[in-house]
Amino acid sequence: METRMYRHGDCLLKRVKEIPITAKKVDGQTIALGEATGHHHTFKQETVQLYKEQDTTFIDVVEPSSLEHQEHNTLQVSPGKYVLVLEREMNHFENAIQRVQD
Amino acid sequence: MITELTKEQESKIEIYRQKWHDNYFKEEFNEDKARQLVNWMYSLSKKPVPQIIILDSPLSVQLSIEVLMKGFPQQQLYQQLSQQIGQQLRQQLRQQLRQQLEQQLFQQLFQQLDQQLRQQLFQQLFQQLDQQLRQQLSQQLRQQLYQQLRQQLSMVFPDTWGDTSWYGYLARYDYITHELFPEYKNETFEKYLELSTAKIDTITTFENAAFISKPPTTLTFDKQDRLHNTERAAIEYSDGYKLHYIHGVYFTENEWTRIVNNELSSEEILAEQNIEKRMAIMSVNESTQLLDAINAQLIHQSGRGNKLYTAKIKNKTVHFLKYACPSTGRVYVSGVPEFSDADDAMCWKFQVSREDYDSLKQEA
Repeated sequence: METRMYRHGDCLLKRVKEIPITAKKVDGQTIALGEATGHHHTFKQETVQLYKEQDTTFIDVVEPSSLEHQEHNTLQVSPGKYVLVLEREMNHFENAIQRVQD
Repeated sequence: MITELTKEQESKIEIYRQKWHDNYFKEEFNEDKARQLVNWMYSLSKKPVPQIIILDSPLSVQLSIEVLMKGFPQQQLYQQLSQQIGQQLRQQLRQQLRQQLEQQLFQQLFQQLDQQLRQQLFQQLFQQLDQQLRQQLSQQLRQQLYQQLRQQLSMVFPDTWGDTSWYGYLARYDYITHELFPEYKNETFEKYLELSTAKIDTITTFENAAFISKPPTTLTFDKQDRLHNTERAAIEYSDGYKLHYIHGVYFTENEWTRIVNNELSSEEILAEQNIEKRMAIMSVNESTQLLDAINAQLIHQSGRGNKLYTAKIKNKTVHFLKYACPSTGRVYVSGVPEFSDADDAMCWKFQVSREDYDSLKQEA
């Protein structure tokens, strides 16, 4: 059975059928960058293509690829199309939902 | 063609890793070599010999450049040479290597051995030197400069050749060329290897001047090789410039002082917007104490180890999820809306259904 999703720290890759045709290609293989540590979640293979539509990132993995990070274990991601979901949390002090910042 | 490493070749990986590790941690800054390296790089690029300015920290370098740029805006100093000089070296090395080693051979080598080499040879060096030190240093340096100079000055960035951030790569290519292809000799690369041991912290090149920063005088790490110190700055330069880290997370001196002196209230810690900073603060202040301090009550603990707490803050009932990262083991506390099941709260955090979360096996 194909893997539907992968979690890599505060990043979750969720399989989608298609990447919206309105999404635009973006350079690089880094899907998320840590502000406090300078660490990043990055695909090793350059064949991985990222797309952006507004604030949403889509990922086209065309061959088995390694998702790497300076501290997390490396994940082997199967070919497929994915949407990147970033972890969120509730800020009780501002009564607001916010993306987890790291 | 090499398809796998022999046991002898494999056994030598550690020697090269240790050699470059020692080059960084045991050797001192070598001014003569640093000057030779800069002059040689400029000559490779057919540029006139620059004036070399050696300073005690990257902050001093940045400030000096800013002052000079402000004072002499029309001078050629404006023309930063990083690309030209870096490209020249890369081109020369690439051309020479390609003549000696067929491109195909290199591709095959990298495809087949890259993972193995990376894991065994570079992980520690990358983590210690390339990723944390260089990235964080330059990032935090820029941030700090921005604060200090109130965004009045334009920024220049250090080049990334010949400094210590390359030691991970140098270990790799030192090993490949000497152990896997010992019959091929490349004088340019050999000279680059030798002069790179000058231990330059940062280098910034201009048309007629090159600015070098000496390496830090103090550099401390935790057991996982992350920049860390709760008694003094993790990075200190001889001119007094210092940077504070807790388990690899940067804090301003004021923030760091309050953390290590336990001056932050529980509410302040929980209100910290950055989850890595929150985690680092909790590692000093003990997360269990943090939840105790706000009288948090455990509502539910799931089979995956997620723990859901409730507490009253400013007369409002709130919920927190305490959970550990599957690969690093780091413990985080994060605010969530009202739930009765800890895994449901985690589903909310990642915007997935419970069915999807229950089937999620690939976590790191």
